Amino acid sequence: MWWKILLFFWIAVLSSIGIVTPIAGDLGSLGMYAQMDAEKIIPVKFTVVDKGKVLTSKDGGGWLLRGRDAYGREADFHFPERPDNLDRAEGYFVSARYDSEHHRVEVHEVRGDAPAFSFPFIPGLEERAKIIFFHVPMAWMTVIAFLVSMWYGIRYLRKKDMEDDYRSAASAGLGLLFCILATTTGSLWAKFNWGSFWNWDPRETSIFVLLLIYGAYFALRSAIEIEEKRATLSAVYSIIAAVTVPFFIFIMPRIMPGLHPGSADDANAGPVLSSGGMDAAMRMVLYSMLGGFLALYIWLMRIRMRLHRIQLKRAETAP
Amino acid sequence: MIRQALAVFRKDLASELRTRYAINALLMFVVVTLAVIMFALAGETLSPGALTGMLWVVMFFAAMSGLSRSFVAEEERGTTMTLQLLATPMGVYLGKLLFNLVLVMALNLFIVLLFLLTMDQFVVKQFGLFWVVMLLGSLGIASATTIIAAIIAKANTKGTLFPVLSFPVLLPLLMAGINATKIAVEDQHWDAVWPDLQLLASYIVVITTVSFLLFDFVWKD
Amino acid sequence: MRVVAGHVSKKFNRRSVFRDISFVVEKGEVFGITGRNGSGKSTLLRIIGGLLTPSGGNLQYTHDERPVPAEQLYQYIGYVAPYLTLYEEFSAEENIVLYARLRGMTIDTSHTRRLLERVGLPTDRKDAIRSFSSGMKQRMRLVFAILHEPPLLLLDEPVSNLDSEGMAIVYTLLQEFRARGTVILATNDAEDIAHCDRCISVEAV
Repeated sequence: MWWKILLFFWIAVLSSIGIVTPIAGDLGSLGMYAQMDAEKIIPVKFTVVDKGKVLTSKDGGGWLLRGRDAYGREADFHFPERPDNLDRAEGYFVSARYDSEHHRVEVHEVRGDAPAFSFPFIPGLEERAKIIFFHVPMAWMTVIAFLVSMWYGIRYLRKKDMEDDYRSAASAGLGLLFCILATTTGSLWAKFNWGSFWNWDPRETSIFVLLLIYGAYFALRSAIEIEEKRATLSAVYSIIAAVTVPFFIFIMPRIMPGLHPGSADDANAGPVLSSGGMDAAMRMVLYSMLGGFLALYIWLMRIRMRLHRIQLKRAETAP
Repeated sequence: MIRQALAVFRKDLASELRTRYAINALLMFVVVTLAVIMFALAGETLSPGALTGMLWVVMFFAAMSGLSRSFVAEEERGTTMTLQLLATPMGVYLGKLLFNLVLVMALNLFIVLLFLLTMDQFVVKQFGLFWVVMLLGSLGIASATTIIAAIIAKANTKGTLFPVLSFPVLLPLLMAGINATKIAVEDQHWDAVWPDLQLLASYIVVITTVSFLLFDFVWKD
Repeated sequence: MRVVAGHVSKKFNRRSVFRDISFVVEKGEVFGITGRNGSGKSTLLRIIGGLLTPSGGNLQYTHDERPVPAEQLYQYIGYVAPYLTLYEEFSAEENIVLYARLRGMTIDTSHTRRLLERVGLPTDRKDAIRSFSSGMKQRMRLVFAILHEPPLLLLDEPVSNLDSEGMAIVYTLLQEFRARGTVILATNDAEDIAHCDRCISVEAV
C-alpha cells in the first residue's frame, strides 16, 4: 500500500520537476546561434565577474557587466538600463541574444536570480527537450513489456502453466498501452519540432513495427478458442516476431535518415546525447522517471494478475 | 526426416496438381493485379524504382493469398491428424517448406516475367544480380510464411490473419529486398548491394532455424 | 506392446474432461474403454496415441522390453477413428503408396492388392476415395492402420458405418493383433465389448 502512494508522489514530483525546471543556456548556445547568423533571444544564466560601468551614449548607453557562464567562459553583457540589483550572488537569469556587431551579449529582459537547478539549452529543441522525461520511459516500457511477455511465453512453452500465459498476455496488453502512448506523444512532438506528424525516421519505424506486432499478437489471440492452443501459438508468434526485430537495426539506417538523437548519421547530436553523454541534471530526472515507470508497470501487472485470479475464482464458484 | 519431407512434398505437389486449388487462382490473381496496376497507371511514366516497389507489392500479396494453403488445406480437410500419425513434425515442416518454396519461386518467376513483358519502363540493368535478389527474396518469403501458415491454420479467421501476422515478420526482408532490387534495376555497383544480400541470407537462416525449433509446439495439439 | 498410464487427466479451457485415469495394458490383450457420450473416450484414445498432450499424469510404452520414445511413437501405432480423414483426392492405391512412402517402406502392387483384399475393398477402383461410401472409407481407415503392422492398434468405434461383413473383418483383425500385439478399443457397442478381455469405464467429471 505505502509503496503505491510513494510511487504516485514519485511520478508526480518528477513530472513537476521535469516540466517546471527552467531551461538556461550559456555562452556556448548564444555563440552557436551567432555562427548560424540567427541572433535569437534565448534564456541565459551567468554569474557576475565585474559589476561593470555606465556606457556613454556613444556606445549606446545602458550598463555593461562582465559575466561568466557555468563553463567558465566570460563575455560582456549589455543592459539597456542600470540593473537594480548589482549584487546578485546567485547570478543573473536573463533573456538575451548575441550582438555580433558589438561582440557582446544584448540583454532583453532580466528574469531574476539564476536558478540553481536548470536544464541546458539545446538549440533546435529548447523547451521541447522536456518530452524526454515522458516519451523515452514510455518507449522503454514498450520494449521491456514485450520482452517480459516473450519471456513468460517461453516459460509457458516449457512448463505449460496457464498462469504464465496470462502473465504474457497481461504484459503484452500493458506494452500495447505504452506503445500507443509513446507513439502519440512522439508524433505530436514531431509535428512541432520536425514539421510533420510522421517522418519514417528509423525509430518511428521501429515503434510502428512494434505496434503492428502487438496488434497481430492480440488478433491471433482472439482468433483461437482453446486456451492451451492460444497460449502455445501466441508464445510461438511472439518469439518469431522478436527474432526479426534485430534485423531492423541493420536495415533501417541504410534506407532512411535518422532524426532522433543518437542516430547513426547524427553528426551534432547536441547536449542531450552528445558524446559526453546527457546533461547530468536531465539524466538524473530521466533515470528516476524510468524507475517510476517501471514501478508503475509492475503495479499494473499485479493488478491485472489479481483481477485474473478473482475472475478464475468466480468462474469456478459459478454454477 | 529428409525422406519424409520429400514424401510430404510429393504428396502436396500431387494433390495441388490434381485439385489445382491454389495454382489457377494464384495465376489469375497475379494477372488481375497486374491489369489493375496497368489500368490505374495508363499513360503515366514511372521510374524503374517505383516499378520495383510495385513488383514487390504484387509479390507480397500473391504470397499472402497462396502460401497459407498447404497447412490450411490439411486443417480444413481434417487430415492434420492423419499426417501426425504418418510423419514426424520435422518431416512435415521441411516438406511444407519445400512445397512453399517451389510455389513461391514459380509464382515470383511468373510475376517477374509478366512485369518484364508488359511494363516497357521496367528495364533491369543488372540481370545477374536481379535474379540473385529474386531467389533470396523467394527463399525468405517461403521460410517466414511457412511457420505463420502453420499457426494461422489453427485459428478461426485464417484468411485475414495471415497477412496481419506475416507483415511485421516479413518487413525487414521486404525492405532489404526492395532496396537490393532497386540497386539491380538502377545499375549501381555490386558493392552497394552486398549488405542487403548478407541481411537476406542471415534472415533466411535465422527464421528457418527458429521455425524448425518451434514447429513442434505448433503442430501438436 | 505394454502401455502404462499413470494418473492421466485432461482439461480443455480449464474444464476437466476426466481425471486420474490409470491402467496397465499388457501384450496380447484387447483392452476396452467405455463411457457415456462426451465422457472423453476419444480424448483418452488420442492421448494414448500421442496426438494430444495430457494436462497431467504420464504414459509409458514398452515394446520388446525397450521403452518407446515419444517422438517415435507414431511408428508403433495403428489408429482407426471416424474423425480420421484420409487424402480423399487420391485413389485407394495412391493413398496406400503415400502412407508407405511416408513411413519409409517400399510397397509393390501385389502387397497393395493383398491389403485391399484383406479389408474387402475392390482392387480395381482407380477413382478418388472421395466417391467411396462411408463403409468403404471406414475400410480404407483399417488399411491405414494395419499397413505397417504396428504392435499397438487403437480403435475408436471401429465398426461404425460397417455392414456385417465389414464387422467380421474388424473382429478378425482384432484376433490377429491380439496374437501379435496389443489392441485398445474405445466403444459402447455391446458386441465390441464382448471381444474385450478387460474394460475400464471413463467417467466425465
